[in-house]
Amino acid sequence: MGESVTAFEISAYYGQKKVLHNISLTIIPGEITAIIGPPGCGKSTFVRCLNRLIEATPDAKVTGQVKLGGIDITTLPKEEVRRKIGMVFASPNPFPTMTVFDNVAAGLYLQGIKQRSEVADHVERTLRMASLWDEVKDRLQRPALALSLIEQQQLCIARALAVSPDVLLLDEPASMLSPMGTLQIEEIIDDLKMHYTILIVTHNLQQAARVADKTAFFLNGELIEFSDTMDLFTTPKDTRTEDYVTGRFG
Amino acid sequence: MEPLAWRKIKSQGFVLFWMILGFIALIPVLSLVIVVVVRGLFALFFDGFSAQNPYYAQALLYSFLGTIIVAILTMLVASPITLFSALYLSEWLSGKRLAFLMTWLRAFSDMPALLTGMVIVLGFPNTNSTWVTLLYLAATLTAIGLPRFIRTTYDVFRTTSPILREGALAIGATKSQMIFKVLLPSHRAQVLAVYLQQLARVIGETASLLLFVKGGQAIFLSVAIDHAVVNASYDALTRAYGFAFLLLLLILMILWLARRITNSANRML
Repeated sequence: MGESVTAFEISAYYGQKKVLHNISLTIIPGEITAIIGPPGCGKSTFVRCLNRLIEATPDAKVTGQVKLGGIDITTLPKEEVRRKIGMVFASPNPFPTMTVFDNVAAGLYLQGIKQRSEVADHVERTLRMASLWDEVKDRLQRPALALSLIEQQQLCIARALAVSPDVLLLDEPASMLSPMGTLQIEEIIDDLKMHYTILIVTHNLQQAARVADKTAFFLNGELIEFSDTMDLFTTPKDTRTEDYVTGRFG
Repeated sequence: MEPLAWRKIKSQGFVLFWMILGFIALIPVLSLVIVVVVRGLFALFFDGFSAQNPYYAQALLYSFLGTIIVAILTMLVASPITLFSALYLSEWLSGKRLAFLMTWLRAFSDMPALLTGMVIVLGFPNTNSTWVTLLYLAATLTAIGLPRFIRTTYDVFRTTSPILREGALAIGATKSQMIFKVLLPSHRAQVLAVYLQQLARVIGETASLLLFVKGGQAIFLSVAIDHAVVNASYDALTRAYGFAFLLLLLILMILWLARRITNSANRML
C-alpha cells in the first residue's frame, strides 16, 4: 500500500505568471484520484509540483508544502522524492537507445543496483504488474522503440514501478492511445491501486468517471471542487463544475 | 480560385527551374570528373611525398595527408569544447544569459568567424616546421569553427523532446545522470553526424580561406589547388583538377556517412 500525499496551499509561477492558486488536496492510498479540467488549467503543473519535477523547468517557482506520508518533500533530496513519487507521461517516452530490459532497469542502475539476478527479478515483477511480461519476455533485448505504442506506455509504467515508488502520478497516460489501448491502461491502473497511491490527470471525463474514486476539478489554476467521483459528476456543488461536466464549456 | 491548368503549369515550371539549377550546379563537378577521366591517372598519381611543388605528383599524397591531419587535429580540439559548451547552453543556461550567448554565437558563426580566423592566421610565425604549421592551422580552424559547431550541437540537444529529460528525472536520475546516461547516448548518432558535417566543412570550405592569407606551404588540398592554378602549366592544371577531384570525393564521402548516420538515428527515434 502506498503513502498519502497532501498538498497545502500550493501555488506555482512560470516567471511572473501565477498558474496555480493555493491548491490544497489530499490523495489517499488505495484509491485512484483523478484531476480533470480544460487544457491549460494547471493539472500537469500541479502533478509536477508533487514530485518536484517542476524544479527542472527554468523560471518555475512553487510555494506551499507537499507532504508524503507526513514528511515534507523539500526535506528529502529531489531524486529520492521522484523515486518515491513515480510518474508516467502522456507520450510514451522509453529511452530510445536502450533495450526493453534496460529501460525497465534504468532506475535500478541509477541507484547503483547492478546485481543481474536482483535486477532481472525487479524487471520481471514490474513488467508483470504492467501486464507486459507475456508480450515481451522473448524480446527483452530488443530496442524499446520496436514495441507498439501501447506496449511502450506499459513499459514506461513498468519503468516507473521498478524503483518501488509509493505514489504513481499518471499525466494523461492514455491520451495518445486507441480506445482499446486506453481500456488496457485503465485495467492496469485499476490493478495497481491496491499497491500504490494513484493520481491520474485526464481531460477525458468518461475516463475519470470509469477509473477514479475521487475527482478534483481544476479551472484557471484553481481547485474548484474535490469530491467522490460519483458526487462530482451527478451532484456537483459548484456551477462551474456542473457546466464543465455537462459539456457547456471545455 | 486558381484554375487547375495554371497551377499545373506553375508546379511544372518550378520543377523545371530546379532541374536547370541542379544541372548548373553539377557542371563543375562533371568537368572535374571528365578532366580526370580524360587526362588519365596522371592527375591522381601518388608517388611519395613532396612539399615543394604542389603540381608535382608527389605533392598529392602530401597535401591529402596534411588535410586529413589538420582536420583530425581540429576535431580533436573542437569536439570536447563543442560538446561541453552545447550541453552547458542547453542544460544549465536559460533566460537572458542564454539569449545573449546564442545571439553572440549566431553572429560569430558566419562571416565574423572567418574574419577572426584570418586575423589569427596573420599571427602565424614564419616557420619551416610542418608540424608547427599544422598545429597553427588546426588552432585557427578550431577558432573559426567553434561558434558554428556549438550552435549546431546545441540545436541537436534542444530538439530533444522534453519528455525524454523528464522521463529520466522522474525515475530519480540526477541532472548529470540524465545527461550522460540518457541524453548523450540517445543523441550520439546525431552528434556524430553533426561532427562529420563540420569535418567536411573544415576540409572543404573553411580551409580555403587560409590560402588567401598564408599560402606558403601546400599542406592543404585547397591550398595546393591554388598553387597549381597559379603555376598555370598544363601539368599543373591537370594536377589541380586531380586535387580538386580528391577533395570533392573526400567531402562527399564524409557527407554521405553523416547522412547515413542521421537517417539511421531518425529511423530509430
